[in-house]
Amino acid sequence: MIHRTTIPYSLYACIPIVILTLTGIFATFGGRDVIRGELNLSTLTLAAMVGITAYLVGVQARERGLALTVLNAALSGLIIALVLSALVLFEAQNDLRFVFQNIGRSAGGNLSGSVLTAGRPINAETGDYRGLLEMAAFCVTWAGFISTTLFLPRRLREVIFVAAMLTLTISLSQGQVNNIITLPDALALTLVLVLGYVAAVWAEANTGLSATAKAGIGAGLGLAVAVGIWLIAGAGGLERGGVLYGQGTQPVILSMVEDSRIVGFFIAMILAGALGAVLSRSSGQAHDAFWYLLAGLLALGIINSQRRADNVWIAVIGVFSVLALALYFVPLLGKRAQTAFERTPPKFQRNAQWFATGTAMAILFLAPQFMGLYVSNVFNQIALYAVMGIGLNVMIGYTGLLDLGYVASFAIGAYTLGVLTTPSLVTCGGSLPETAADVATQCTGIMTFWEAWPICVLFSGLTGTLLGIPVLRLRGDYLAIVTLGFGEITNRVILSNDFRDLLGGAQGIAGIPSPVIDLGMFNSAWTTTLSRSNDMYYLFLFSVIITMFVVYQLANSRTGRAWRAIKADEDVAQAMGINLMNNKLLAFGVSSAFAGLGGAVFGASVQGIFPRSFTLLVSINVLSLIIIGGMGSIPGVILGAFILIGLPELLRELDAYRLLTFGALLVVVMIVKPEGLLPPKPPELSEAGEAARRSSNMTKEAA
Amino acid sequence: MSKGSRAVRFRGGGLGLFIQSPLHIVGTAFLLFLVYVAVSNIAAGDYTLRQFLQNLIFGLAQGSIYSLIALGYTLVYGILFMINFAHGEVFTAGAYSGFFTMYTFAQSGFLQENTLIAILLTFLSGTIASVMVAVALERVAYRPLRNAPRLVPLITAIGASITLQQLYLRLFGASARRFPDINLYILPDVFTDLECRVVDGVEQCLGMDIIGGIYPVEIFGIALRLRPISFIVFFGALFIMWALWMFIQKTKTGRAMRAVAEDKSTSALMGINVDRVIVTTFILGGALAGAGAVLFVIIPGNGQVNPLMGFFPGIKAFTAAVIGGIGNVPGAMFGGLFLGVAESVGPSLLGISNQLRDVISFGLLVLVLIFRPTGFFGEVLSEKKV
Repeated sequence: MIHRTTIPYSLYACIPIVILTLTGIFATFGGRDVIRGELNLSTLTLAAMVGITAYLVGVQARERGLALTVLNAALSGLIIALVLSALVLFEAQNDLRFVFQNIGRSAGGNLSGSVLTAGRPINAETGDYRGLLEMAAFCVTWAGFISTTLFLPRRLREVIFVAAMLTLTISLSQGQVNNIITLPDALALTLVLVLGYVAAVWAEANTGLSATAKAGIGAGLGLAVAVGIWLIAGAGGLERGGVLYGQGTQPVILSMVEDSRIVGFFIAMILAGALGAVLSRSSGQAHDAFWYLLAGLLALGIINSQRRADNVWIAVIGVFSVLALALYFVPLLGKRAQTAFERTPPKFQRNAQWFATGTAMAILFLAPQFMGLYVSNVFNQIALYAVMGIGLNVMIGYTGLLDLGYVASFAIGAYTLGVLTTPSLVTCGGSLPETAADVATQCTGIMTFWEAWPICVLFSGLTGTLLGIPVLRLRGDYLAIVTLGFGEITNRVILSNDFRDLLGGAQGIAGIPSPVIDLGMFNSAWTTTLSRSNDMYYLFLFSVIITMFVVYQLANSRTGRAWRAIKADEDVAQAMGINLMNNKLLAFGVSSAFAGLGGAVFGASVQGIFPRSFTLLVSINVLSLIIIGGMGSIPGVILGAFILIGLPELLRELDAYRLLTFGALLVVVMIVKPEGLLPPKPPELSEAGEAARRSSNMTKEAA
Repeated sequence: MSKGSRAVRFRGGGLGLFIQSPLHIVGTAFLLFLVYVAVSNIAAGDYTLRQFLQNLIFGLAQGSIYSLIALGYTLVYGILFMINFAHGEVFTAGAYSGFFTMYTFAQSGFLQENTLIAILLTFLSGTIASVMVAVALERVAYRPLRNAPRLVPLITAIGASITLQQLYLRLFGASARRFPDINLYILPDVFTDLECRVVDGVEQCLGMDIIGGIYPVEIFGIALRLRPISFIVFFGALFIMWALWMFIQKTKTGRAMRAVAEDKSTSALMGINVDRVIVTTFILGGALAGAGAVLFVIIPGNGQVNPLMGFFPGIKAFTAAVIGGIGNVPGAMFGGLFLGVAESVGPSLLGISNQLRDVISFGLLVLVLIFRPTGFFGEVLSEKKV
């Protein structure tokens, strides 16, 4: 009947649940709606806690059939509900607020009245415990329901789960993302891409057209749709409430037909049609990436069109179904596209890859025009951490040296920029003017940003290498703690009064000028100051691309192989003739140089440097995103940056629990999946190496 | 250096041979520079013997607490060869538990009536809390990774450290809690002229306040102001360390611990329950950290309990363990005292601001690693351990 693991598992699960309850998680999340007026973040938290437990219990009991699984899961829900009820009753009698300061939202708050009593405070005098009963009923039903999903096919279950998570995430962050794109925009793009795709698939089956001709058909269809939109717009379709306007805000892309950007619109549509055709036979990765991007845009479009609607469930169900359909069908189609792709001639493959890369670059390049300042800023943060993560990965992922003082190089880069680009004694002729305003008007920095950043990078790299020398022979733990020491020394030095004249002490360095792109010699209108976040975006994008390029090239060179050999086994690597010292120092230098780059760009983007930005937390953040993304893998680091830096920026309410989650994730990932979410592909043997392996095998067989 | 320790020496080709000695030269030059600065400060009269003695005594008290925490690192390292990065948070748990106990006693008046018992109970509660956290850590975070590559448990430990810090922050709030003032008067018959106050027109002398008090003393003609608590903490810590030493050397469990530290699989074959020995090690380390935490917060002026308080003492204690030679019990004791004194005497001796105190400890760590990577008392480390 009851599986032997059910009760112990439920009780174990109660430990973290009770601890989290005591941290006031339900009170903190209580004021936040996930789905407007329908679903509260604290309800979701309780549902997640119960759901995870029910799932774990259900997996154990699964072989005994549906009914018993549901029974066991419901029992686990009941146990959690009982423990939580006991906690609520205990807390109602005893004031715990001196010890557990956050248990209630306000000074007078406590657990009763939160989601644990279904929002209905218990009342001992009138014997009103209905709130607790409702909570228990919810836990039991929900636990039972979750366990039934165990009997769905595995893939369907995963799709539903991921789509639900994404829907909730989008819903939580909708305030920041609902102006990115409108539904008509997204639908128009979808129409063109799908038309191109379907036409190409049809042509593939029924005609003998060449691959290029198919792309031409796609482009033609794109043109046709564009003309159609232009005609409808001419007939007033773009007016408020018109066909092309919809319920949301003013269309972003479609509005282009009405003004001077009409050429751009036509080009974009033609390219989209061609892209659709090319995608039908492109590498699986490119195929999936573009379709997922489109699904994301559609989801954002739905959110945009429904933001004032009375019934929010339309938006929720719409977003969920778009995402679920995409998650279910795209990989299947992707496999087909990959097969078709492998059959095409190499020349087409090359061209198709260039086309996909070019389109991706164009999208990345145009993105900040649509995203708005806030989302651009989030992307900048992600890019900053991606640069640092890829840099630190050289140490941790490739060479296996655990550096916990990465913030030192970051700070050195930023402070070098600060010292070089702000007014100093050198440029002010020996003495600083009295007031800050005079300083600003009379003197400039020694250099502009563009002259200073290579120096920041080099100086960071150099100091990184120098710091590496004394710790070269240390391994693992020792190295970690010494580098942690370096980070802390840097932090103390920049904060201390001993160096205040140069580094600004606790005030830091203010007034770093924004980088200026000065193309005045060609056209006087082409001079831009990169001060807003959607202009700085390009600088960040550029940094990420440089970093990815350099590290990718290094990692696949002789040096990279030496690094991996050192990681695998230092002694063996040395025995194979690898110079440990030079390679390790190079790793130190390269990794610090990228931190310096990050620091310089960071300093320029916030236009000032404050010592508070350079704490151990930076090192920990970078470390976490490498570990969770995948050690030694560039896509892994980028994914890590999106998850660990991007998501928390969008979900500001979770900020209080952000570091707690990071810490727990580090532990869980290390125990469950030590290689991270996107581990690096195992290095491929070169053809020569393959041949050597084969011949050695043959020799063995012959022997 | 002995033959064995040569095994860990860096053996890079080409440049490696070249850099080996310059590194020592740089280190020596730096040391000489420090000595020069110190000597010139003393010669210029900027540094007095009085300052030195005062700092020395304070440093010994602080250092003995570092020693207690460092022992936790050393014990775990000796057996598992991993840094229990979250040990500082084990310390914090003891401090919080001690605070809540002491606060309750102070509120109920029990502290004022039975001060000594209240203090002992506080020690007990601090120790128990720390032991619980240490054991939970071992069970949840470290045991599943017993045989993982070296980097993995280290990262887990960092994760556990952050998790615990943040849990304390969310559970107990971000604000620092002030430890209650404690006054424990002893020997009113001997110290007849201390802590006198006039009650109802009659002058009463309570004796020496060995926890909250601060008294002028003259030693060899140098007037000092000393806190008795410094001596109490120092000798209390020494006593705890002596007890630990006896435990490791004389008891059966202690012998099992030493055997496991030497060779896990062989000791398992000899019938030692390795898992239980490891848990015992964590219990011991936790108990020492808990006791250290209560000693730490009892010192007036230190008496702030906050969620992040364990991190720096933890790192410093690890530094102390490395300075003494990690995995070596007397080494950790020595390293802690050495670090405490260096940190307390250093800033004023070198004429730098107190803000750079932490720089001294980490600088020391780097210097020690340059000259004696195995620490002062370092056993000969095999490749496996370094």
